[in-house]
Amino acid sequence: MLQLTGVSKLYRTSEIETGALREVSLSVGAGEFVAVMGPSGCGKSTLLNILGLLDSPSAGSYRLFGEEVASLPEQALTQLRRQAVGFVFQSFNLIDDLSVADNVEVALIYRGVSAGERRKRVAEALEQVGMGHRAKHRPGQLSGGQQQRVAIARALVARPKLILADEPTGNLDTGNGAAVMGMLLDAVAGGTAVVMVTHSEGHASMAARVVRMLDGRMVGETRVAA
Amino acid sequence: MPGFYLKAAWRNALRTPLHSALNLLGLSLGLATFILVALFTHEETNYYAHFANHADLYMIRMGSEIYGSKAVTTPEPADSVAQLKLDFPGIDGIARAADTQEEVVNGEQVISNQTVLIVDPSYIDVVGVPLLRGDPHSALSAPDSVAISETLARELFGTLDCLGRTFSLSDRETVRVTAIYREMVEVQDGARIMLSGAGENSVLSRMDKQDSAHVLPFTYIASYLLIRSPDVRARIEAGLADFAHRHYQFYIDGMKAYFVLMPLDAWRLQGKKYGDIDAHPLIRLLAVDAVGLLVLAVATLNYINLATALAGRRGVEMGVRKAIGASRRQIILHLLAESVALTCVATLLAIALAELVLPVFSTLMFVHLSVDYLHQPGLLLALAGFAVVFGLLAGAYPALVLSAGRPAESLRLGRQAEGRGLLRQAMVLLQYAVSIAMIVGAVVIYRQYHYAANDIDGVDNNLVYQVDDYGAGPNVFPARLLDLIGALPGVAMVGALGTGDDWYFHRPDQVIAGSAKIMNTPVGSRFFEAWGLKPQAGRLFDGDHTDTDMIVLNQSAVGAFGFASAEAALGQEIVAEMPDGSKPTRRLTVVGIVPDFMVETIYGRIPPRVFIVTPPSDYSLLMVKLTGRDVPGTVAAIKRAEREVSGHVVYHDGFMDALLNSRYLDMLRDAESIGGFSLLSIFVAALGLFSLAEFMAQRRTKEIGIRKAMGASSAQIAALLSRDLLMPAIVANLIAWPLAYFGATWWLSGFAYHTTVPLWLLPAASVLVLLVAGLAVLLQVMRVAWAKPATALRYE
Repeated sequence: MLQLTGVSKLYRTSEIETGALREVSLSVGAGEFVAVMGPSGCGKSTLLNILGLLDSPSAGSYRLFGEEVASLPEQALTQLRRQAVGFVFQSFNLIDDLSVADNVEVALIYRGVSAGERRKRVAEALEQVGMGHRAKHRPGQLSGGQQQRVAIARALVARPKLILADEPTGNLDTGNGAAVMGMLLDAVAGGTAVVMVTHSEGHASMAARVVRMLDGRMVGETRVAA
Repeated sequence: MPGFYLKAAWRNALRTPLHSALNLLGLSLGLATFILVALFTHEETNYYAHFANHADLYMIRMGSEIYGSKAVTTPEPADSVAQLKLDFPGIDGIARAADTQEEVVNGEQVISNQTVLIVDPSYIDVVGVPLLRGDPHSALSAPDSVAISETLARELFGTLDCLGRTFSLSDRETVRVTAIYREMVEVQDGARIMLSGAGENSVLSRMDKQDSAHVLPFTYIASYLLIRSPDVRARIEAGLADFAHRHYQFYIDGMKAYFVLMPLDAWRLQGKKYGDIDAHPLIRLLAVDAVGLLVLAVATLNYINLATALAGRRGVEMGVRKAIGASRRQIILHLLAESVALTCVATLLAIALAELVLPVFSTLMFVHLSVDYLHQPGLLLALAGFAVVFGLLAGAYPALVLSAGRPAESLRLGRQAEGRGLLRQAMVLLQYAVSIAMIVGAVVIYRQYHYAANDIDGVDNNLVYQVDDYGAGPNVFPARLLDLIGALPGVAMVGALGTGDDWYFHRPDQVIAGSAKIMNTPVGSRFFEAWGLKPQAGRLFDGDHTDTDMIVLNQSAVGAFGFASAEAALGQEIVAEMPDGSKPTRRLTVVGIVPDFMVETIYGRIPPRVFIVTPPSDYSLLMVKLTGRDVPGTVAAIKRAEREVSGHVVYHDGFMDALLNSRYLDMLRDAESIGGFSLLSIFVAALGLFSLAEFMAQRRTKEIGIRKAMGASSAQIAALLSRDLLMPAIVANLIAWPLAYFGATWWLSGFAYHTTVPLWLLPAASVLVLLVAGLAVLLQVMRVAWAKPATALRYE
């Protein structure tokens, strides 16, 4: 489904140049669950940003659904992002001023889904993550685990082909972490590819593949026995 | 401790130098406006304070009853003050000043168009003119003595020590400087020369010798009475009606005249209380005050808004301060001290700004404003106090909000937890509402001025040179003078207004009782042509004085006589009678109708008029229509002719359009000042919005990143931000439109003839404000909306 070939990402400031990613190559198939591990600052989040079309690589090729996207203009990237990608962040990244339902709905508004259809799908997605009874609450009124469920509902509601999860369990206790992992596995079972950055060996072991990174390079890949 | 606060304020300001500078500038502009308006108000309410005796000075004003309503509009008979002094013992003095325009000649040096006041020798003493040199009691006792202002003294002689020096007025009189006075606008038109009226032939002396009946009410003489004793004042007020009957029965019969004793201090702002309908500066002062306060309000709202927005970013700092032991009280104190420090700097800046624009503002408002901070320590103290109080008030809200946050939360969020900013939106909204309403107000006033000065008088004032007598009585324009002026190559024709009997006009089948008073308006036979008026029906007078029993009516008179139309009135007979039968009844025929045109100001309606040809011996005002060739030469020739023929009669000359426009000058100044202030308020509001846009964008950086991650395009983000920033400017119309519309309509209704509030003006003002606001937010919105989403998310 997606294929990175020799992708690098450099950050330039006036004095120094930092390589966040160096010659990374990776491919992910449809419905595959890939975990990315590595110490802080190794380039995991940069990798996710590029995979999610939030950022463009400095060099290398990125093919998504067979199409080269590394050098597409901003507008085209926005279109692709709408069609294919859902995000789950470590810090949930819900919009504080909007209610739980509104937060989930945001993903559909930008995809041009009709209002009636939006209501239906938002309700479904919230039920799916067990947050239907909190639809009117503000993010600030929820616990971390609850916020992350909402964030997952937001990622699922648009029915993306690819979910990118950046340490989705990093801020959660064990119970909530397990629940979030369950939801991601459900998504994979439904045919969605998931790329998850994590520090947890346990959670990584639930993926089909574990990719290890160090200093912006890929240093190893493990297939987990099914 | 204060040093510590100052340092903290300074460092905090440096963190966001551009926004701190903009915030400071906005506040300074608001404060500078406030200082100017306060100075103006002080000047207007203490207008005559430069006259040492202002509290005991009085004017005598004459009112009359026109169409059933009483109004003080007519200048008093020129001799009434002198007459009053004779009738009421105990009056401490009288001071009269007639003004004229002269050329000042000092050797090679010529200064033209100087207003010269011809004053009673006791003028300086009675009024209490502040003298810098000379003796107030005796300075003007000699006929050739003059008092001059300090600036003229410097211009002519380069020094104030010029007593005894001489110069000449308009190439004929040599005068000797005997006193120097402080410059004052309060002296008519800021006149810089006071010429002694002690001479035999001065206007004042000649007037004193004349019989009351021959002194016309229309004079250019300003007269003051000095009355120190309240008893004397009461006696005069009680005896004014008798006094009028004794000396001015003529006016009582003709126009139901009455007299009013008006304190000089009241005249400027409270003339209306005494029935003076031309007095409206109080409204004007209130309007300027209101506008000034509005600008200050806009600047204050702006400041609070920005201060709160800036403060919101200091949540971590406040959290850290609390974590290391600061109490809430200490944090509030700290923030208030910072605010006061900032407003003190803003006040200093405002003083400098006000000082810079003071000369322009003085000219615009036609007042003489000056500040001498060194010699008015009270003023400095007041400003300092104001800065502190203002700083406390403006800083209170942000301080309370910021200090209320729980430290753990502030630290976790990295900023202050906050609501949806409804208060902030409301403040921005108010700023816009004020700006829009002010633009509408300024444009409406300007349109009304333009209408009044150019459109409604219905006559062509261009190149009409007016020669007015000084109320000098009959035969002031000898035939020879008319011939001389008429023969000048630059003169197209000579029209005239005259004086005449106060006839009552009616149709043969009407009775006088109950019929509307129709004004007799005696004119020269070329009167209409000189003013460029064309007949609406029938004809004008022919030029050779044969139309003695023919009359022309204005449109209002057609209605007043009850004719169905202008055409129907032609050829009809009108009867003219003196109510007391003192003259034989005349039978007149209507030969023409002219449109209504303005002879008075637009504060009243145009009355119905009967125009009747009067012989040159009764002319009181010449209207000389010039061809336009060699205008200066022609004017000089007219002046020469006046001098040659009329001996010592003093005429009051000037171009008609200039004289008419000057009546509406207050209105023009109001439009200009309100217009200027409204632009200022838009500018201040835009400054605020510019900063606010960035804070808002920063506050929502995370949200923008998320929305982009969720698929929002840059254009959608830009639209979202713009909508939130500009929504207040749009909603503001809901408040501003009705307010501006009804306010302007109410103001216009004070004029008998007025324009309307054009409906396009409302959206136009809004569009202008929106454009400025749009420009202010455009840059910020573009920058944020088009940033890579990853950058936005990394911000967290």
